[in-house]
Amino acid sequence: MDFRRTEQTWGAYFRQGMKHCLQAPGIGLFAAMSGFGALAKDSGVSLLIALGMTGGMWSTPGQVAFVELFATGVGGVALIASVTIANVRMFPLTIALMPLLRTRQGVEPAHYVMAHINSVTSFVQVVEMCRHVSEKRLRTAYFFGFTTACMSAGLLGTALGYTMASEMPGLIARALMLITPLFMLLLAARSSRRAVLASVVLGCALVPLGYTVSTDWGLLTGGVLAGTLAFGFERMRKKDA
Amino acid sequence: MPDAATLLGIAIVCTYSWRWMGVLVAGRIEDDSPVFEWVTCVAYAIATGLMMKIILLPGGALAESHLIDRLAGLAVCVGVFYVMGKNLLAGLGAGVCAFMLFPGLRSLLF
Repeated sequence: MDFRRTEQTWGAYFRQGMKHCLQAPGIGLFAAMSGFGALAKDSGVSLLIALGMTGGMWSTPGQVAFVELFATGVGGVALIASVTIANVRMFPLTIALMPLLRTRQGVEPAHYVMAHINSVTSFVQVVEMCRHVSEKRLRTAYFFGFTTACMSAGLLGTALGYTMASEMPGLIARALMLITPLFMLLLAARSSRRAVLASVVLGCALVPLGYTVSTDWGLLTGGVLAGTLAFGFERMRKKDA
Repeated sequence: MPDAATLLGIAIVCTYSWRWMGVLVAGRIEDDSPVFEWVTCVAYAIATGLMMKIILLPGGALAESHLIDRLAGLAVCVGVFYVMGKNLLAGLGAGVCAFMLFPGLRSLLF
């Protein structure tokens, strides 16, 4: 990341953020959301609902949980509970983002917008950007540029994946539907934290297992159990060390 | 079950409530406390577990593919990802190609 030739204005940093989204992060996000679009089409929801999920929830795990459980026809309470817990990551992610961008203590109306368009991809990018940019106003400009471009790429990807799955059923549609699972697994595997990697391994075993026991509550209970076990193991290991 | 639009509305409110709470408590609690470590663990377990469920036990159109082809896609994806120094796009592209090509490869060999 190089900001030496960027003008020190809000607009210039906004555009810089948008440009950086057109690289690997934005391409990955576009691909993942194309996959989500295909999964959404397959689950039977309308294109408008699919776009509403991307724009309104803006969190892949919850969006995928929604269409998966909707297709299975589980109860409304089980669906909402699973989606809500699948998106719990947004809570610590928002808490971690705020100190990087806000100019002073306290809540401003813009923070509620920032919290909504924030995502794992954007947060990782912002942390990296903050190593090069110290002024909070310019950081915020970059954040808005980057996230606006991400949201556009996400919506475009959702629409494209949905349409492709409708118009090109068969192998192309099935390949699209595999993109999001593969992408999310790799994204988690990039973490260097042992507790996260343990959660991934246990989750990959216990969630499908839970699903075979109960289609309604398997995802939720399997995931909470796997995460709690991984957390517990890591705590014990740290105490021993 | 309620219709999709109603469920979507509730899901949006529930998801946003996490972000909203985050805005309110930011700065008042440390973001490296054990509670957040646990939240992160649960979030990753449920997200990746769900993705593995789609690969192992898909519903709908993906269920028309063979399990062995999906696993071949996953294996190539993860393999290329690590060989290329944790390159996400390389792994993803290779995995999807392998998934599409593996059925043809199987019919050639067996």
